[in-house]
Amino acid sequence: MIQVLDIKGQDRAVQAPRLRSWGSKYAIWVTLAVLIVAAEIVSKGVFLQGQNVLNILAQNSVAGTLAVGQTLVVLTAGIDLSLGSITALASMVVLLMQAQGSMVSRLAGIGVALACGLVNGLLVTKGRVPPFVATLGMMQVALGLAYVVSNGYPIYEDQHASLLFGLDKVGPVPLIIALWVLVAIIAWVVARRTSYGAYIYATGGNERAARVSGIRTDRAKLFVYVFAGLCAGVAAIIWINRLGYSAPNIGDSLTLGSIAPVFVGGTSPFGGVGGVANTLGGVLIMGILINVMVLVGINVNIQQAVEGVIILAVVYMFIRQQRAR
Amino acid sequence: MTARGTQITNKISAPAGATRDWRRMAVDYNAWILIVLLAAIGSIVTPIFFTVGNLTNILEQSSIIGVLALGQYLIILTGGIDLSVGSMMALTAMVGAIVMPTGSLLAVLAAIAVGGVLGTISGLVVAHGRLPAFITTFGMMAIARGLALSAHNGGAVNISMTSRFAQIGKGTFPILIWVVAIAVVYIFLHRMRTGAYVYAVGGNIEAARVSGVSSGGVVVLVYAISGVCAGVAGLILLARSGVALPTYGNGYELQTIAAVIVGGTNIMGGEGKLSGAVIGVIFMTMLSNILDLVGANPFWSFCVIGVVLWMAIMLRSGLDRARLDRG
Repeated sequence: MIQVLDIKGQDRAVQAPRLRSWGSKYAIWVTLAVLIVAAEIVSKGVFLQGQNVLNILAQNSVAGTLAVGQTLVVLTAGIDLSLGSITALASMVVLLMQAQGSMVSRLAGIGVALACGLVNGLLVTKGRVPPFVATLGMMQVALGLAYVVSNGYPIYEDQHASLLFGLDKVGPVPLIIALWVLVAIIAWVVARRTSYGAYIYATGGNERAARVSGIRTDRAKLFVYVFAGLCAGVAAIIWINRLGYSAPNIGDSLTLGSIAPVFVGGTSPFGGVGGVANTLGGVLIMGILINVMVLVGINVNIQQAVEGVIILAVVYMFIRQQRAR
Repeated sequence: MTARGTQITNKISAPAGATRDWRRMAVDYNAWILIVLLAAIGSIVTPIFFTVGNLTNILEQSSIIGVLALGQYLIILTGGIDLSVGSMMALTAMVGAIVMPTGSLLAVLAAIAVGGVLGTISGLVVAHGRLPAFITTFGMMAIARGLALSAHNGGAVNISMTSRFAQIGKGTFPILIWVVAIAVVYIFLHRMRTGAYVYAVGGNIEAARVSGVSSGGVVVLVYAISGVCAGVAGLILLARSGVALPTYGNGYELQTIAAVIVGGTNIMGGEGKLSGAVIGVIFMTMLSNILDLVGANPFWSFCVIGVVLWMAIMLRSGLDRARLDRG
């Protein structure tokens, strides 16, 4: 199955001039490096201090975890608009069940998130509902359920539940960052080192061709929506660990936060190109931009608008580049 | 050989023809069938439902979503989607409220202009940038929401309720605006050449382009119309409530899409009737009205809207597939 990837890779190398292919492949890392240098200069050396870097990583661990799941969905040429709402619902479930102990309540939250992902996947594969419509419906259903179970009120932790065996940090490093990175590594291994990953890329690259050559594209699609649900469950746990409470409406901005890094990282909106590593770059770029905006005192209310403009600009550049080939 | 061939065709088509007619009708009139069923259920579960007061109430509540759904309907006909209608409405309401002190006419024009300009931008990005509609309008959703939030530092803007402008939100006036908007869209679709192109572009964009339809222009136009609809809806909401909130319209994109799909418009574009887009809106409002009347937790209505959308789409594609298999 790895052959599928090799053939595609060769194909692209033949078609595209070497320099441009190098440029598009590393554009994100060059952008990131430039941004880091710029941020270091603008902030007069505050930016690269260990504590600030850890802060940025911790702040982005929720959206970052969601973006990992979103990446696999987008690789199959789909989109998941419900990840923010599923995170909200899962976090409410965890907090409602906190009396049962952190283990049980967290598993319940993850279970609910997996179930939502499964429904998304079944709607897309068996129901033949276009992904953005199926997940738009789930966005509302999960939001409604989050409101129903909580009666619309935020819920606080009665007693802080540590992430792992009484620990929240190892040295100065918050464990939520480690959890996010762990999810990213799992997704990366699945995408790049297993036959499932090859199916995912093949499904997004050319679904009909993949199906004709015997790949069960439906299974690959079902898998990515369930995995995205899992990521939402983990993101809910991270949210609670970081903030000590949750509310049914936390999902609004998270949906945007889960999608922006995927496109900014250079994963194709048409599927088949990009990956988890790109998305991590995208998360860092968005995180640094927002951090710098706060540092230089730009109104936080405009952040969403800036993210929207960046999404459109990046996808536009991506499509223009593709057409140039 | 020929005789046998005809015989076989006859044999197959006779019984299939009947089912095909039935399915064709189910697709054509599904919105009407659904709304009659729902009204019957409503009348059974609560006596308040079938009163003039309540039915007028349903129409009044439908008017804002109804105006938004007209733009959504045109965009879906071209094979696109508009996820930004809700946040655009919030932005236009904010703009209207902020401009209001300098004059209500100016406020109306400013709100509609802002909607029209942002809609045109979405249309240009879809038509000429060739970005998928759901990504373009998702980006626009974030942009409009961000602008609405920063318009008054995240806060609400009150307007004077004694002003002449506030009168347009009173009583049945919003319904009248909705009816006028429906008439305008009807004339556009069925009495103007560009309107026919809307169906053509959604049916097969390549074929439309080859036969000389300026598909780009049509696409830009429908997104611009949707933006204007958002402006009108924002103004109605502002007049009704007397206050502009930057959080207005959350979830309205889903409500309008669900209404249009329930109304029988194909999510892939190219087919669907205007009457369906109107009935679909009334259906959705009626559903939450009945849930209210029977005293259901209002939060359930979020879930119901999502589930209705799923069912409408699957029912539709199921009927279509059956039609293709047999026909």
